[in-house]
Amino acid sequence: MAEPLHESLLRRLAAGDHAALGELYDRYAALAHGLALRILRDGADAEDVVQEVFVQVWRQAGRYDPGRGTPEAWICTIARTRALDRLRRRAARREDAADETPLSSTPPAADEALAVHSALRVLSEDQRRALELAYFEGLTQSEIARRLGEPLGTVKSRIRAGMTRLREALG
Amino acid sequence: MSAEDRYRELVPLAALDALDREDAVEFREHVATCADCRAEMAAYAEVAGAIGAGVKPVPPPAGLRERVLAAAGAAPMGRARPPRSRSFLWMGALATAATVALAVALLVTRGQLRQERERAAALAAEAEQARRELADLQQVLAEARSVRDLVAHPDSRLTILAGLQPAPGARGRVVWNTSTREAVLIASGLQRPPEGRAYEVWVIGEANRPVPAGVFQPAGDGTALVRLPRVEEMARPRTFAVTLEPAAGSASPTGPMVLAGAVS
Repeated sequence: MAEPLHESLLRRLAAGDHAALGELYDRYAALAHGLALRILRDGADAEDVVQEVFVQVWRQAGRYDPGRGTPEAWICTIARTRALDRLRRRAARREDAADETPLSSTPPAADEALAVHSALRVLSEDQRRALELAYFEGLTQSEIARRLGEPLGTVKSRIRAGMTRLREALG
Repeated sequence: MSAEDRYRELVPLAALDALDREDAVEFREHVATCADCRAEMAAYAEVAGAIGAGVKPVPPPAGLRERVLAAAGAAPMGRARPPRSRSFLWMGALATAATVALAVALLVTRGQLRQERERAAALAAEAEQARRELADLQQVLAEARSVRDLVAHPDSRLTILAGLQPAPGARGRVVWNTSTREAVLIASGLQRPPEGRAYEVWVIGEANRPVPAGVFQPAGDGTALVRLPRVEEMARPRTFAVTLEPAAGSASPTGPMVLAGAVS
C-alpha cells in the first residue's frame, strides 16, 4: 500500500505538475538506474532506460492506481521491462553479427556484487541463480534449463521452490 | 495432478515471465477465468517485484536528471501505445485496466529524445529573444507614453521648424511645456549626417544665447523623435534650431543650421 506522500506525489504528477516528476526522480532514479545497470551492465544503456522510465511515468501517471502497489514496484516493473527489451534487442543484434561473442557467455565479473541483496539471501545458490536468470536476464524456463545444462523439470521446480521460499521470507 | 493444480504450479514461473510461449498463452487464458489463480498471481508478482526492488540503488550521473525532465516536458501526457512486451502475458492475466497500463510499451528512441532536447533548446532561445524584444518594446512604449502625455498636456505648445538652405526638404516641430520644461522634437526629411557628425538641437531663450538641447542621429527614413533635456530656457523659449555638429556635440553652434523655428 502506498504511503500518503507517494499518493500526493502521484496525484500532482497526474495533474501535470512537472516539479513532482523531479521529486519522483530524486526518490527513485537510483533504484531504476541500479536495476537497469544490473540487467544491462552498461552505463549508457542504463541511463537511456532511466530516461525512458520517467518519460513513461510522466505520460501514464494519470492511470496509476495507488491501491495496486507502491510507486517503487511500479517503477521497478517499468524499468525491468524496458531494460529487458533493450537486452533482447542487443542480443538480436549480436546474433546478426555471427562472429561476436553472445552476451550470454559474458562473465558476470565484478559487478556481480550488485546482485547480492537481502531478498535473495534466503535462497540456495541454485535457486538464486535460476531466479536471477529469469528476473535479470529475462530468460524463460527452457532457456534457463539450456543455459544451466539441466533438465527442464529440475529448473521448473527449482524456480517454484525459490519463489515460494522468497514469498515466505517476505511475509 | 488436476488441471487446476497444474495451473497453480505455473503461477511462480508466470510471475517471473519465465513461462515458455505455449504455456504462457494457456496460462493467461486460464487465469482470465480463475479468481484463485489471479490472487496467487498478484501475490507472486509482489515477490518478483521484491527481487528488482532489492537491487542496490546506484545514483545516475548528475546530468541525467535535467535530460529526463526536459524529455518529459516535451512529451505530451496521457497517450499510450498498445503493450507488446512479454511481461504483458501475465499482467493481462491480472485483468485490471490499471495493470494493463503497467505493461504499455512506449518506444522512445535515442534519436527522438535528442530531437526533443534540441527542440527544447531552440524554444529556450526563442523565449530569450522574445524577452529582449519585449523589453525593447516596453521602452518604446514608455517613451511614446511620455510623448503622448506631453502632447496632451494643456500647457504644451507647438512650434514649427522649417528646413533651411542645406536641407530644404527637412521639416520639424517641437512640442514644449513651460511648466514641466519637457520638450520633444519630431523631424523628417533629414539626411544621414556625414561620418563623425550628428545633428544637435538648440534652444534660444531670453538671453539670446543658444543652449545645447541634445545630439541625435535620424532614423534610416530621415525621421527623428528626440526627447529634449529639461533646460532652463524651456521656461521662455524664443527659437528652436538644429545644426550639424561633430558627433560628440558642441557647446555652441559651429556647423550649418538645417532647421529653425521661432516661437510665435
